[in-house]
Amino acid sequence: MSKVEITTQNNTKKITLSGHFTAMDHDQFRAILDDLQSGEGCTACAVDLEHLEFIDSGGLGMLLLLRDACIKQKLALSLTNAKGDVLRILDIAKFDQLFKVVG
Amino acid sequence: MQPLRHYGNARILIVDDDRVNRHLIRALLRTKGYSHIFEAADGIEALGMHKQHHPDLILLDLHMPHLSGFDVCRIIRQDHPHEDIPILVITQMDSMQDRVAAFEAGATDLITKPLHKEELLARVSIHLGHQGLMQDLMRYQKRVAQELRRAYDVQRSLLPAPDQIQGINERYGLMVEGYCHPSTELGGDMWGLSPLDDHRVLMSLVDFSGHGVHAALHTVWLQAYMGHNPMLITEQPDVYLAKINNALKAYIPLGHFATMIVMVLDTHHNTLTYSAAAHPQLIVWDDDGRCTHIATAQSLPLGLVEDTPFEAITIPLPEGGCFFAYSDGLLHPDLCENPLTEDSLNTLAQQSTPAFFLDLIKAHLNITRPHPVPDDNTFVFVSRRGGDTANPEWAAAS
Repeated sequence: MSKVEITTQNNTKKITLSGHFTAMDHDQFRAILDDLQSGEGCTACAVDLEHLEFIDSGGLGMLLLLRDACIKQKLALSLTNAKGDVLRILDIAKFDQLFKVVG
Repeated sequence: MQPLRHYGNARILIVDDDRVNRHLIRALLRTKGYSHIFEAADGIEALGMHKQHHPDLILLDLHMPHLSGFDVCRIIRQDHPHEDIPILVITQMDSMQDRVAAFEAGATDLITKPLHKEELLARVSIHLGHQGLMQDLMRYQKRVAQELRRAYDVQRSLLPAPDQIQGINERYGLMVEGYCHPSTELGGDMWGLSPLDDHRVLMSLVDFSGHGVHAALHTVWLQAYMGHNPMLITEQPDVYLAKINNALKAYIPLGHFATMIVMVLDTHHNTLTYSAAAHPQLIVWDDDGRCTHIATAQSLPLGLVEDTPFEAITIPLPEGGCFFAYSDGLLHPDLCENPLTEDSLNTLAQQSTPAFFLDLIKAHLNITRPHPVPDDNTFVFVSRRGGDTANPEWAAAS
């Protein structure tokens, strides 16, 4: 299971993922998506992946749901600080074509 | 197991050596409509009644001749470990020793003497209620388990059958080995073989996001889609992927997708042409058993963006050469104590003969003893064994 935290800094919703982000985190992440709708005044959403060690296809699917939610909420979405296996998985899936991936 | 449609249908066994007590309890139970009541005057008779009538609840006195209530309790729990029948022990209020011993023997609850009508009826009602819920749950669990087993049989029938693999092996001079093991009852991985003509055969491996029932349904959808559109099968793997991608985009719910690799082996031109959508790498060995190619054409997963372009790559694959494609479950960090990474897998491929590499992969997946795994695991290993002569390395490995 991943630890998922959401904070608001300035006008940005910051979602921090750590550990293993997999299909097991679906319910937890759904709550995050619901929380996004309460982000009045926010203009961006940044997902911090610095402490994420692993993401599977279920985790990637949830990022796609987040992308859709951000488009609806008109939030600029970025994936930040991915490294190691997580960066490799994002690279294989060419997620840089769908997300703004920031080093 | 008969359902407790309502508590009045419940079968209740009263065990007490005192006839007056038994009749008193029976009369109390009847005031609430319980009519299927059996009585036993001692422990031995109680065990016989239990065996004969399969009661839903037992009211049990502790101190009886021949066999005590403690022993009855213990024997029922020992002999029927999966039967969660409520055993309500009737005991004296002041006997703490009895109360503790009764629970140790397996009693569900205690009813104290002297008996109070409301308390007795309330406890019987509560425990029958629990029992009913438990029976509902067990029936549901059993039904779902049976349905999942049947669904798994259906899903397995989508995979290449042994005689189909044998036919492909003989027709194209190959030794094909496929493995597909779901992480739960059903999985989202699948592999396939499709002859194109007398010298070309198409192989594919698909992995739908997530696992379990929804992912398995996607594999069935894909199989049905391909079955209804056989003209989609082409010798161009990039075109094949593009068609599936667009079809999947129109069908698959948001947040779901698939990774896939499609490989076309040409035994006349000694080439392998492949195309991949966000799929793990392809590993290739030449006829000397040297690992010559570890790479993959990459693209977005299938089902996300319409008209995604895919790249086809053609590499040499002479007689005696081999290749290996796999789903990402192989590299799952929770697969075992020493998980593989992409780098360590590549090192293994470069330092091993194909046969030894395959043995290592099988050992890593522990495929001779299927066990729970964190993600679906699938691989396809193909050896061009060289006409009718089996590759000695391969033969040794198998």
